[in-house]
Amino acid sequence: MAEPLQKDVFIVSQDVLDIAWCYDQVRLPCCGAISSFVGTVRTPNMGKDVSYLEYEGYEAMILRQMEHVACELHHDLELGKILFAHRLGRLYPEEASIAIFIASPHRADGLAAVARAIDALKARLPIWKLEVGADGSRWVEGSAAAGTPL
Amino acid sequence: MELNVKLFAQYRDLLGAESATWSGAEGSTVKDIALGLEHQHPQLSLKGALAAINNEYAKPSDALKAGDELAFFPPVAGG
Repeated sequence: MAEPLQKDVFIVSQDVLDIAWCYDQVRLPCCGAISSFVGTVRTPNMGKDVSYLEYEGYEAMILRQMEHVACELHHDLELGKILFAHRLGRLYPEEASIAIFIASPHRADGLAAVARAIDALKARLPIWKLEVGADGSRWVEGSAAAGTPL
Repeated sequence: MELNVKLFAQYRDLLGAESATWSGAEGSTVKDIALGLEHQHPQLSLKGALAAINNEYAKPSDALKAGDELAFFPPVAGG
């Protein structure tokens, strides 16, 4: 198990995600790779034009679940530093909703960590999105994989 | 014990508020409390909801103690 070299960074914010700032947070001299994923609002979705998404989240639990995912990644892979950031509030097409930046000594573990991270975060972060278009709004169907539904 | 139960997204919309107060016996389960809230608020149906206790996913059979933070929410859709 590799211990994180520096404290990881977890962010939930209503503000625009500053991707260059996210990158800077994980730079380390001992790491030869920074791997990343940025998720953005897409239109159309399911064949319908999207005007914007309203993201709602349970902030304290989001941060706790981000910590769990990072801990698991550090346990399984050789990583230097991890940043997870998720934006809430109203987001328009092309705007970034989630950013993952992971520094690692070598690229293979970093790339694997990013792929695992986005799947785990989508399944576990308590976030919901209301999709708003010209013909009204609807809650986007979510995943119950992380819990036990009533 | 008395709990302030958080509700999110569709459940908040159904209730018309971000939280609800529940009173009952210590050791009541997530399922007990969900049924109690549905009884108190007939417009609220928590069938299919996920639950969390103190920011961790919880099972319907998990028991609560005074001071716990309980939340009910729909399947999650981050990213």
